[in-house]
Amino acid sequence: MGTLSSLMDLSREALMADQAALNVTAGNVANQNTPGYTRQVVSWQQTDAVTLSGQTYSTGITSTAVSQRDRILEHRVQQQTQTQAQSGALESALQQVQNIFGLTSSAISASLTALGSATDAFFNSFSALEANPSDAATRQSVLAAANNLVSVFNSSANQLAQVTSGLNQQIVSVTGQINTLTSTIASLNQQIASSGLQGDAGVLEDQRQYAITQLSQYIGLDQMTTEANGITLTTSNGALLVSGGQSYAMSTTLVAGTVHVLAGGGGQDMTSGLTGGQLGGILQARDQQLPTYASALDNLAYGIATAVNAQNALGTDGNGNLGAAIFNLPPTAAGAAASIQVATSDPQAIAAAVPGEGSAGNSNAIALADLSTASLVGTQTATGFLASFLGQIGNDTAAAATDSTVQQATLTQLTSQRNALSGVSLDEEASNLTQYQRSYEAAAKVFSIVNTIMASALNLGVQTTVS
Amino acid sequence: MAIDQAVADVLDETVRALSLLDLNRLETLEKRIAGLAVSMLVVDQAGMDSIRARRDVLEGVLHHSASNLNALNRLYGRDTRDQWEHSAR
Repeated sequence: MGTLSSLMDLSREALMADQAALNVTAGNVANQNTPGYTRQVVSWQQTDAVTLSGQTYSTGITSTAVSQRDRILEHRVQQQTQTQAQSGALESALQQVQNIFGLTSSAISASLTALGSATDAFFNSFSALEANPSDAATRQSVLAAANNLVSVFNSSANQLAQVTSGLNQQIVSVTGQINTLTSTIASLNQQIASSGLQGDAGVLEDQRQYAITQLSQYIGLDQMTTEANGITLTTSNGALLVSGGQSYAMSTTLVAGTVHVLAGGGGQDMTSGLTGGQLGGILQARDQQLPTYASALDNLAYGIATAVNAQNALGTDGNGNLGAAIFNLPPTAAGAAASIQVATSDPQAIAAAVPGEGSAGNSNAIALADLSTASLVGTQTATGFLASFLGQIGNDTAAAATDSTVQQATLTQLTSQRNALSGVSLDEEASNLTQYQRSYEAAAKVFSIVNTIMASALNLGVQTTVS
Repeated sequence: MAIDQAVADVLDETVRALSLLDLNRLETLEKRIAGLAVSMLVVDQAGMDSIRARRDVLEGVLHHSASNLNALNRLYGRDTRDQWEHSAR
């Protein structure tokens, strides 16, 4: 049996432990909206018992606050953040490209776009010339259609270049954000190392984790834990960003008018291998997608113009001379869409007749009109190539939008899981996992039933009315 | 509401509920889609495209969810948490 004094000590210990537990709870409530805050739980420990004269006396209980964090879950959230940000940035860039060509989800027919209608109108103007080869107004209409087509090519190419220019500016801006965050993380590394785990490391860990999650929005990262609870960060292609208390700033430089990213201690050009985060998406759009579209546009402009020039040269113009070029072009397809121009303002320059046919002849006008069904770009007609090209942009954009939605939903799910699993007991964790499993099964069932519904609808054939 | 729109709505809501792991909502949606399955779906191309796009999103999220659940199940039982104890006093 303890003395009155020892009982009072026990009571005091218990009250202090209770007060500490209340403080932990209050801290959790107060910080529930603090970005990156990790919930704390109370851990109770019985203090060592004392044995006197064969009797064992409890000396009370103490409590400690424990920040619980699952590094693997947090790492998955960071990786997903990088994937989602890349996907979102790519979608945003492709939406801009889609807008340039007037593509929307409800109007994807190539002939309804500005480029499609200009191409059709240009070839149709030669068809009109067949009927009235000597008519000045009809000849003027051919030149007007050519000018309109050139204008649409120039405008589309310039807008594509503007999108590229905007992406270059974003790269510079994102690089600045990255440098701010890597500097913060390095500073936190230093504070954590110097404070030790018995100090305020929990809060500092939260702050560092939050900064890394923010950084993940901008760039793909590889992360290594080092001694003294430090973290080393590199880009996805190995350039050092943070090592202990030292951060390595990224920079940008212009190479042939294109912004390149330099990173790592030596300032190497890391542009080609950077993935993940907004920067990854921007680079993917700028260096992979947009050049493909620009090249296709160039090929289309070059294909149409070279064929028309060649055919016009085979005929005689309104003044009885051999036809000259209608379009001015660069020597190769590169840059053709941006630089193509109509070479003449003289309606008589259109070579509607063939040599010996006289100025009222129309044989070459027929041949010029027939170019609409000839293979002008590889093995494709101009309108066929344009339809494929615009279809590719539409498909790429739709795929990017779907992927972005999926990645965002997955990030939301991972974040929910991390938050729900942070600071719970293993029993609660098992319960939560069971609930997740059942949620997945219910959603999978919805998916399965929708597939059945769609298969039935397809079997009936697609109707023009909705019941 | 037309059936195709109802199916599209269920798909949208399913993606949202799966993102939040809202089991109650998902069970309700499962019943709703089962009810819609008994109706005949006659739909035009735009309606079918709309459903297909949403179904593709759900398929993607399910794919990631399955992978994520597998990882969580592997982690369960291996206490991977790092704990930082510090005095609560």
